[in-house]
Order: sequence, then structure tokens, then C-alpha cells
Amino acid sequence: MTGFLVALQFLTRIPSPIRRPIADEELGPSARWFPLVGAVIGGLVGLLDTLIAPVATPELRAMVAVIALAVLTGALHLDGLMDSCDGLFAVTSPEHRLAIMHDSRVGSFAVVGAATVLLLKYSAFLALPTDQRLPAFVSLGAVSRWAMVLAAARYPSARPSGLAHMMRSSMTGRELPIATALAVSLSLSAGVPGLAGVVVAGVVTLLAARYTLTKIPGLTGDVYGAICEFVEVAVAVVLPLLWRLATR
Amino acid sequence: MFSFIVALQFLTRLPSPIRRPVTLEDLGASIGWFPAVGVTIGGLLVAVDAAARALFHPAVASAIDVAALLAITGALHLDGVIDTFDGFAAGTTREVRLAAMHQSAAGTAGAVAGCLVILATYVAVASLADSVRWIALIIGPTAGRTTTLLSYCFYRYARSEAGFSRSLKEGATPFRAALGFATAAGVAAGLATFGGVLALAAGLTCSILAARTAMKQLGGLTGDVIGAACELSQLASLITAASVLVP
Repeated sequence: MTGFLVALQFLTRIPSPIRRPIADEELGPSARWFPLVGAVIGGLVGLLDTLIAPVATPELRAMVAVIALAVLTGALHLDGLMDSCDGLFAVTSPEHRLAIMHDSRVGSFAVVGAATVLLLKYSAFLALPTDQRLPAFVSLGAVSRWAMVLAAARYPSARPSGLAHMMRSSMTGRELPIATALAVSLSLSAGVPGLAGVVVAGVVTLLAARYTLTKIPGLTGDVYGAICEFVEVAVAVVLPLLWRLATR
Repeated sequence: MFSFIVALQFLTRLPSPIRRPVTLEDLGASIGWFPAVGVTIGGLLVAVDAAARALFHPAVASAIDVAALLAITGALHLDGVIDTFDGFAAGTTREVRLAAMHQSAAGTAGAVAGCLVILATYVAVASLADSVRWIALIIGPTAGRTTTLLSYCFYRYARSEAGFSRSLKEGATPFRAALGFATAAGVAAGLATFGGVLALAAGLTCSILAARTAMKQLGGLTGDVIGAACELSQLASLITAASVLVP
């Protein structure tokens, strides 16, 4: 239970009953709960979406969902995406890339990356069919947070200190199997196509991690965040297609 | 053919078949091909759009088009938009503005401008009628790269140091400009006669406005400003196409 609350406090701005700073060695073990936290986030977004349905246009609902995701998470993953874009797309050495990612200032690639991902997310949420929106949000919330566990468990960290290293060094090896089981069962809220969403998440994670490794020697917390954002978008984009294929 | 590939390599992130190092002279000489690269980018975009529309909701397809345009070009010109608006917003003297444009960190004005251009491009692409989308998607990028060519040809260059932009400025001879312009005008007229030419003209007019502003603020153009002019004229062309190209 504490593990879940640690994960909730780490990944969201939802007021946490723990009321204390998270210790470094608690972070790794809490990763097994990431998909459940993602489902909670997605569930809240889905509830809000359902609540405003009688009064809001489809465009407004899509926009509100995009904003709700950013607010609930404190734009944690968007921040990672922006730093990753600046660092990975810069034409420079791996060391300097890591320094750029550490720099809190924002460059052109960060602006372009964030705006594009937000735009894609908006359009994808706009396209979610009316009767499947809540399960879609739950499912994409769960698998996008699972993708971060997958990335942390499978790939080396770039720095000897920092979030990715902290997480990896306290992981026990049980996190990925448990998180995977959770992600698979939670994604089933969107039916069999939800399961295909897990596969999409896995592929996106693999591609993003491989690309990152060609630029810097390992992954960072920022890259995990970028992967989370990419998976959210990818799953939201392909779910309607998968549903159409499944009902054919 | 070599010059076309040099231009393609400079303006896009597409894998290039050139194995030998490209010199600054090669780059300058390739500028006449920029509009042809615009047509190529447009052609790729049409393919992306067709695939995306076959699979996804129209709104998603339009967002994918915008993302594809940015991915193909490596956001080269949008970077120019961000730097240019940061420069214009900074200080009152020419030197301060030029220095601000060199900063790699984005300021508020640049970030706002970048987001607005992306949003506006999305809305313009989403507004294109089904049967004429492909025409607008070719003319838009073509108008942008034609603007780049004409801006280098007709306006003073603001910086003195050597680099890409200086070579492009030296390469932008009236002959190459005429050749490139003929390419763009031919494609626009061939695809959609009046509407196509109007969409191209709107893009080029927008670039004149952008260039005049830059002349006033900086006393000349820079690579960033010309990138911004490219992006804005592409946008103006897409908006015009959405209004005048009706099925």
C-alpha cells in the first residue's frame, strides 16, 4: 500500500496521505504500481470528461482532457519531453546533450516538441468515440506509465546520479513483471484492442529507447517522461482504429 | 541533380545519398532548387496525409500532417520563427536584437510565436476541403521554399560572418531566383491554375511583409528571419488555399 502511495505522490499532484518526502530507495519498488496510478489519472480525466459531456462541444472535451492530464501530473512528463527534445535533437556531443537536458531553460526543439505532442493529443482525444472515452483514458493512462517501468527495467541509465539511476538501483527485478500484469489487466478496460495498446506501448518504448541510445549512453528521467507522453499519444491515436478493426 | 540533392539535404532530414562532403559553395549553388525541394516535401506530405486519412479521424490526420512537416524539416524554419520573434522582442538596437536571435534558449515571444504557428498550421490544414487537400499540401511547402530563395536574392544580409546564410546569399543570383520562381509558378499554375497561383502569391506577399519588418528592425535579413519568412509564407499559402481552393 505504501508503495502505491509513493508512486501516486511521485507521478501526480493529487494530495497524498504520506506527507513526507519520498526516500530514494522507495522509488524503485514503487514502480510496480505505476500502471495503477496511470489508471487512476486516466479514470479521473475520464470522469471529468463524462461530467462535462452534456454542456461541452467535442473540441472542448478534448481540450479539457489534455489540460486535465497536464494539471494532474504537474506537467511532469511534458517537462521530460521538452528537455529530451532539446538535448537529443541538438547537434553536439553526448556530454553536452546531457548538460542541455539538465538545463532548466527551454530551447526551440522543446517548444516545437511540446506543441506538437499537445496538438496530436488534442486531435486524438477529439477522435475518441463517445461511448469508449472513459475506458480509453484508463487504458492509455495505465500503459503509458507501464512504458516508463519497461524503459527503466530494460535500459541502462545515462548518469551515475539522477532519477533514472536512483530508480534503477532500488528496483528489485519484481517491478516489471508485476507492472506488466497490472498494465495488461487495466488495459483490458478498453477490451481486446486495449491489449493491442500494450503492444503499441512496448514498440514505442523500444523505438524511443533505441533512438536515445544512439545519442546518449543511457536513459534519463527526462527520457522516461518523453516516452510516457509518446505512448499516451500513440495509444490514443490507434485505439479508435483498433476498435474499428475489432468490430468489423 | 547534385545541386538538388544538396538542397534537399540542407532543407530536410531525409537520408541523403551524398557521400562526399558538401562545401559552402555547393550549398550556395543549390539555392535555385529550393522550390523544387518544397514540391518534394509537399509530395511526401500528400502521401502521409492520404495514409493518415485512410486510417484515422480527419482531425488526427491533420495533426499528423503538421507533425510530419516538422519531422521532415527537422523544425528548421520553426526554429527561425522562434529566434526571430525573440530577437524582435529584445531591446531597441540592431545589435541587441541580432545577439538575442543567436541565443539558443527560447524566450517568451519566441515560444508564443512557435506555438501559434503550429496551431495555425493545424487549423489551416484541417480546413482544407477533401478533394483539393493534396494541391494545397504541395503549394504550401513550395511557397515557403520559394520565399527563402527570393529573400536571399532580393534583400541585404544582416550579418557579416561566413556561414550557411552568407553562402546562400552569394549563390542567390537573379538567374537562379528566376529559375526557382518559374518552378514554383509552373507547379502552382499546373496544379490549380487560378487558386494555386493565388495561394502561392499570398505566401510570397506575406514574405515581403516579413522581410520589410526585418529590414526595419535589423537593417538586413538573417538565416533565422528567412526561416521565419519561409514558415509564415507556407502558413499564409495554406490559409489562402483553404479559402480559395473549393472543390
